[in-house]
Amino acid sequence: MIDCTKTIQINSVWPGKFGGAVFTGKPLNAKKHLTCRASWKVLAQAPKTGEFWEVHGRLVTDDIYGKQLIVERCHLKQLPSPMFLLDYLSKSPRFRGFYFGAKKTRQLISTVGSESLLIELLNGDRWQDLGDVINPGIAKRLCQKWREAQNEIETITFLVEHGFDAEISRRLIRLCQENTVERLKNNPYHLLAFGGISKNIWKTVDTCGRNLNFPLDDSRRLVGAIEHVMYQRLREGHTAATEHEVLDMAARILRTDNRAAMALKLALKEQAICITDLYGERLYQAVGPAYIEHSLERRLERLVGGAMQGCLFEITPESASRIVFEYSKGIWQELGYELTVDQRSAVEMALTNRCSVITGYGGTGKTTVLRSVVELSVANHRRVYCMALSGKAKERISESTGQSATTIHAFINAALKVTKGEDTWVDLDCDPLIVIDEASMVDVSLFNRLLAVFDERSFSLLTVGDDAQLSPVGFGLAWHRMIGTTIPTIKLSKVYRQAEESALHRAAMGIRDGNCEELPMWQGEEEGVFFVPANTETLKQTIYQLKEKIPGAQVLTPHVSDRMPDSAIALNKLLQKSLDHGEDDYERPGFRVGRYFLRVGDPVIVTENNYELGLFNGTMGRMLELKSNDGELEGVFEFDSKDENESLSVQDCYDIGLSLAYAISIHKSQGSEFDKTIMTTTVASKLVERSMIYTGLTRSKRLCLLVGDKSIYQKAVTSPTRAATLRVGFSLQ
Amino acid sequence: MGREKAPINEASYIAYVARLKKEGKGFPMNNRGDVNYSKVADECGFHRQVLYNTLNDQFLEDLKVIGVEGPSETSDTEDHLAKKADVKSKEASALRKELDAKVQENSLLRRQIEALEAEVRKLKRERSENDEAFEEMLSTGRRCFFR
Repeated sequence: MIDCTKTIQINSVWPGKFGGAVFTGKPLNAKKHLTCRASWKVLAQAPKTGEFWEVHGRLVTDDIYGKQLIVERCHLKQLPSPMFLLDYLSKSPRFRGFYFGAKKTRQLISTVGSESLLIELLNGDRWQDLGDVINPGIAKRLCQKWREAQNEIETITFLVEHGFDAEISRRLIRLCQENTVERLKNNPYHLLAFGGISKNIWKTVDTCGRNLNFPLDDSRRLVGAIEHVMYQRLREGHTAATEHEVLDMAARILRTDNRAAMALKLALKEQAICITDLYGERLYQAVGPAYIEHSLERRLERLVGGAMQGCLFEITPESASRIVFEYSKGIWQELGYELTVDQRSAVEMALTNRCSVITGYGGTGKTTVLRSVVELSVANHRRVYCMALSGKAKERISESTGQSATTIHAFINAALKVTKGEDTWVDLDCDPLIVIDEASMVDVSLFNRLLAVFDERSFSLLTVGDDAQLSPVGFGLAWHRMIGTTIPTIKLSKVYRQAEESALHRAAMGIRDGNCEELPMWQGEEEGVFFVPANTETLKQTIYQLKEKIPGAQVLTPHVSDRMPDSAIALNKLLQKSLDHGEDDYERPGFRVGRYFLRVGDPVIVTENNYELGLFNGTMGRMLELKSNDGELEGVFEFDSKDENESLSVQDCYDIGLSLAYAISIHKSQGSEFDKTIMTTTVASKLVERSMIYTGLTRSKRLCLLVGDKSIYQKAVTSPTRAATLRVGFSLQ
Repeated sequence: MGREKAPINEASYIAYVARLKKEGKGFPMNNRGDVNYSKVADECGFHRQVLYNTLNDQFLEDLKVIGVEGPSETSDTEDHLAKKADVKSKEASALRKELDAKVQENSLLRRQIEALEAEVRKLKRERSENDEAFEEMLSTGRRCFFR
């Protein structure tokens, strides 16, 4: 293996099966082409033919493919010399549509005079001077395309030179479309907004600022530091911070208290942050989340205060009791049970208010109430749109209400078409009832986006969920803070689905209230909640042994990041390898999808919604066999939500983000139920908290084994939930 | 035919010479200061060759007697033509100036259009950037306005 760095002109590109690419290119001053293999981790964007790239990596010799460069770093580069202009213009797909064949390009260059002159004209946007050679309209477009290409290359070069991930370039150029480098040089601290993508963003941006001679007290640096603090808190879910919290974190990165205090003042002056007084406390917020929360508050307040008479088909409060009572009597006759008093009140509330909340834990009849509300509304000729955050949850609401349902994202996308005048299945002007199930998962930003599509329109909103379950993955908290405010709320608390005296229910109720019941050790019982001790060293062996004993149990983990020993990735790889049966079992046929090699017999989970295939995030299944369709590999899968088996190509599997499901994250399990579960509590982290344990436990119908460290479990249960510790600015009076 | 016209030409010439004598004028002069054969022939109503052939002797004799007169009518015509040329030249000059002004105006307008197009492009770009940044802020909560 030889380390090697080269600048190559891209000759051909094949998208890699696992997200990266294989490409060939001709190194400068060389005759032979070089084949490069780059994984998705090192490839911020796909190379295009005609472009110049700097590639760095190890030269290896493969038995089948010969000499290859395994790329470790690579990025787009400027034309190394004007002499490559002809090739660049005629080959790069960027200039497709101009019909610049080699002959035409050569003619253009020779008419202008030389490659350098043409580059000068293109750089200077002097399309008029090209007007003698090509049509002025085309010349104008050519200059624009050239400028875009130059801007992109300059931006990537700047980012690479200053140690940023080139991955941010695409988003950056979308937000800053021209003179990007000039604007970045004027204020590199703008790049702090890309903290999620680029690692150690403050250090990288500050070093860049220092290299550009920004003094330590420069106002742009100080304002950037405060924004960085707010973004760090945002990543943890907080949308607000006290003065002490802001100053403390800012002083840590700016090194002095004085500078932190100065920074806070400047950030306020610059309107990068704002102040909100909440419950007698002064809170600071970045303008983004403050705007989102404020907008959502206004929208909800308008909705709560809105009159119901807008809808001709509305059920009035006077008639609601009678209608619900008669409906309840009807289901008694048909199904042999009737709605309880609480459930009837919940249905009446949902039918007679513009905005209402129903909360309650599993088995309290939320689904029954939901179905009743939907059926009664439809019977009164009211349009109902049912939706949920995840694909799996929307499938469940669809099953339980008999109404078609969508994900919230899909609904918003369809609704936005209305504003553009395009054809869509959504009717926003019919004063519909919007029903959101599993509302605890919906973050403040998505909530706001959903309500924004109904601006200036009438609608009613019913949200249903369990506030003890996981809070949203994104920042902020809306639904949890809607409960018990001016928004009419009913809490369902009587359990019907699960025997009230079952150990699972008792443990779940205890955890919900923060009481840590002593869990018995598992001795092979078939039902209940038990503990199985394990530490990071024995975890894998323990999980493997438990899966051997209870093959049908679903492994759940709080962690996804592969840095964690009990992450879903680590456990999947372990279980796929160790649970195989027979010596040659590891040779089971399969194909690679991203980081996993899926083999026949493996359990799988869909992680991306795909309406075309009818498969949604959270849907689980199993790979049954592998077949070839016209030479292309296809896997045959059975999915829980489908009656028939589904044949999926490798590309389909990528599109739906198919992953192994020997172990899944508790977040992904939300909305699903399993007979038996094995939940890890081996590694302490911010994620291992009460609502995580509660959500994991309530996924089990019969047996739940908690595997790990008792103290981690106890600390998680007795500490407040994440939702309770989040500091947010959202508040309904 | 020529012979038939000869007496008429002669009569006409005699009458013309008699008129000149009576008026005390000489034969008209051309630009070069010689007698203007064409003018004389025109006045007499025949072709100038008549003066070289049939009436040549007579004409040369009369020329000696009454001589030529300074650039009288010729001078007027040339003056007239010169004036006309002057006017035309002035008109042309004015038109050239006007054309120059229009060309300048045109190029100014073209520059203005280019500047306005650039402005429109800049505004469109700014609007697109602001829309993107606003959307980004609504999704991520982060301020991405690159000013």
